[in-house]
Amino acid sequence: MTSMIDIVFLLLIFFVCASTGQVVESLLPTELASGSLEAATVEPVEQPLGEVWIHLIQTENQKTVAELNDRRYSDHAELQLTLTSLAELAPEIPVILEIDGTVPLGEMIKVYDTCRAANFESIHFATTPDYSKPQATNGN
Amino acid sequence: MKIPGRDRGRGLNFDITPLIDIVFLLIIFFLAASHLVRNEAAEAVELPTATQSETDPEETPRRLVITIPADQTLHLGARELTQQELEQALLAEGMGEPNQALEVRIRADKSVPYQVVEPILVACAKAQISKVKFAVLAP
Repeated sequence: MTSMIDIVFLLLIFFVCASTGQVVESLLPTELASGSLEAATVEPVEQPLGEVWIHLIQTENQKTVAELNDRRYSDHAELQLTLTSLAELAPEIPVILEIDGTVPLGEMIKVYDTCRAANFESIHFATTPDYSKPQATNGN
Repeated sequence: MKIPGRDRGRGLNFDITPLIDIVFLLIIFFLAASHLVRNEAAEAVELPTATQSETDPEETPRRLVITIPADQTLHLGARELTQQELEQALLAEGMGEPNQALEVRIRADKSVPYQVVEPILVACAKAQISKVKFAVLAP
């Protein structure tokens, strides 16, 4: 009985030590448009309030800049403020994220997270599957 | 004069068989555990942070985990694949009707450029996989 208790304690200590360094991961969901990309192509439907195009660009000094309706935001807090006030006025307005290939995923997630936090109803990712004509894939 | 001593007649029966069993079991366990830990360390990714993440997501019957470390290699589960192989694997998994029971989790390093992730999103859309989730850390 004593040896069994020893071993049980040993295993317990091992698992406690092993779980200490474990980082709990969360998940950020996206709802992609199912079906072929041709079906996901956004038809030029007239939106009463238009749509918000956010273009993420990686500058030469490795900084990510967001371009929203022809205005550049290098400060993320400023972009967040604009998006939040926009979503308060019209949450139904579709947001389309056009992301340059060189933009790090961390920056893209940050902007997408900001859009979700602002409570926009639909967030899309613009893609170029055949690299000739831009199309948009539903992101939320 | 009789000197008292040990009674050697009966002896001490000490069965070490279960002890050997347990020691071997522990050796195998620690070897396997350390091997797994080493494999995990090789694919360490620095996840991005997000405030709108789900800490307790609903479980889906089938889940594909795509890991993209900072070196931009693509791993589907434990297998390292090329981009074309990954796209084919996603298409093979998601063939048929719109598949709500299949979920794709992308565990990508925050330094990975979007051009590595974009083809995976496009492949998921082509394969009719709508549930795509990014692994993130809560701030």
